[in-house]
Amino acid sequence: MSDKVSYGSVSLVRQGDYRFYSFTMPSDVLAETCFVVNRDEDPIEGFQRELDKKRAAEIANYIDSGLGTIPSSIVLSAQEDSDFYYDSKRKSVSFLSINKAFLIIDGQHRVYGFKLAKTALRIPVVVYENLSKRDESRLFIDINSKQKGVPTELLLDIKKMAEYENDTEQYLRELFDTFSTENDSVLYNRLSASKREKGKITRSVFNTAVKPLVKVFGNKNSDEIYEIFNSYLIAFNEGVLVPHKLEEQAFNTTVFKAISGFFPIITARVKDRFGAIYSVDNYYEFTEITGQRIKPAKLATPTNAYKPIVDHLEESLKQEFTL
Amino acid sequence: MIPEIKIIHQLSLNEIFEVKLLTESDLKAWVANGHYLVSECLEPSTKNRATEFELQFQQSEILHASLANDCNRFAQAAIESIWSVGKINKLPKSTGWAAVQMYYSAFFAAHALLRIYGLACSQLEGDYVDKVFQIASVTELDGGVSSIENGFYFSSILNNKIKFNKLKDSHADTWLSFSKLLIWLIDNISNTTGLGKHKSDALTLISNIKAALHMSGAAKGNWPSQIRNKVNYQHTHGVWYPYKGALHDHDIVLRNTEWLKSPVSFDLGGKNNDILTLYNVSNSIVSLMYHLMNYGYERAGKVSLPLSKGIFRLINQIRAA
Repeated sequence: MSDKVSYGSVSLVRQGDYRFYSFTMPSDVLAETCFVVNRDEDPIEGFQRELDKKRAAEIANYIDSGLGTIPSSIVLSAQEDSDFYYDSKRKSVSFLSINKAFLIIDGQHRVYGFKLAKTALRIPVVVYENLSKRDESRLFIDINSKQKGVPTELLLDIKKMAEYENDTEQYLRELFDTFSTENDSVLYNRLSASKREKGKITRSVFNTAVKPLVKVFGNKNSDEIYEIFNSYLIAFNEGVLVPHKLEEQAFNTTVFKAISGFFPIITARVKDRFGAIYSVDNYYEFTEITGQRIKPAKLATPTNAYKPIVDHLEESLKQEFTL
Repeated sequence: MIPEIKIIHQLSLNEIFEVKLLTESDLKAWVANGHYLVSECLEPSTKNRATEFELQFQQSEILHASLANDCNRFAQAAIESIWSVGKINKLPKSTGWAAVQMYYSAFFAAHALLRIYGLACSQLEGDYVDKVFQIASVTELDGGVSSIENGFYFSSILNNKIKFNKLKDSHADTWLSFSKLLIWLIDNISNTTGLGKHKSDALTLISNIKAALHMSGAAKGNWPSQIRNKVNYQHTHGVWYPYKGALHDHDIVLRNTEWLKSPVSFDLGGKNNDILTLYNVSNSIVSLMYHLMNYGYERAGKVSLPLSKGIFRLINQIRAA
């Protein structure tokens, strides 16, 4: 028979027909007494997503870094076997410390992270009791469909402030900011730092498109890369997009990724013919040929896949060989 | 937008197109408000009075807004002037005032163009320069001069400083300042980013306008001003009744919407027809101003309050009428 544990400073909260208890409990107790059922394990009762172990490990590392706090509550459903009891006079709850006392409605990765972490914390929890399986699954759906994640763009934007950037992120941010401000930038006013805007490239799309190029950029600083990449984008616009009246497509997410993906291919050709002189004119030598041979529909009506467009651009660039 | 405009725009003070401040301040008001320090000790010129000074500022927002307001005011004056050029039914050959109006539209457009590049020719009355002198005195940078001369000043912005130099003639010196701007553009077009062909075309456009301004030995680039004076004060070129010796084609001269065309579409060659050339030169300068402003405005996302409430509203009103 397991011992009963008790915690005080409990708030009873009533919302509509529901009542739940809010309090804190030690992370190790939480980890030992909570469980999840996912649909693979139990297709009838399970509703949780499969656990992403990598994500849980990241949370554990975050807690062990000593700086991490996770202030949002874990939402639990007390199971019948837990013998969960609320003492209204003492404002306390008690329950049996067994390994299936609480079903996790929201926060399975955080709980698993607490299990992996070396550091012990007190964790805010919200506990419902007497929920049916239907109520538990509805609550899960409500929580996971109505809460909205922070947009990636905003997270990227505030990472600098939080001093969380790695070297690549810092490099990409500097490049993005230069493209946002310089007077000769082909992307001036067509980039959006912290939110999605129609006709603009977001920071996350920019990073996704340009990150694979960082290894091609070598040791050049972001100002040098700005000069080169901006020259390429201008030449691409003049050689490929302008002749087909497709200038606006440069700011379509898929097309921008494709244009970026084409950069190493065409730059290799520029370097081969002109040496490391990456001027607009030198790029134009090749973008003009590409523009003459492309099928405009590939850029005008792109799907979500950018690699086929890169392949098409590369194919269009290839000179026909004749003796 | 023609590629030449994209090239020439790269050298502009782009902040002019990003002004979101609701202020009616202009450059004179900015000087009068005194939010700056005098950065160089004043030096006496004639009668122990200074005729140049340099101001150092921390916040550029109001200064850019002031320049944008000035720019917008001159641009509107240019458009108003050129739009009122037209044929008078009872005087179908009369092109005297039309020539003067064309000149003024170009003159106002030159003022607006200067401001797009952070330059200005402005009349500073006594109260304005006194404010500068007060600040110089308080900070012990008056250099022992008795005052700063009021009058017509040329100003240019470099980083967080704006330098003022006194000019003499409000028309000739405005044209000289404009001509210097064109020379600066010619010298710097090679530093822009774009196709060599587009840079070359931009160079040709600016060089042609500059050459036209210096026709007939006009050393200050004030050829339009010289023609205006001849037409206005000597009644030459057959533009006034009885139109004696008129060489120009009245129908061509009295077209008043040519400036909406690209600035490269005007023949600035001269060909001994001063009136026709004055019209072409004026049209090309107004066109250059309009297309640069239109491109800068749209490129910045049409956020500029002075321009959206000013020149672009005016153009929409006239078009809708």
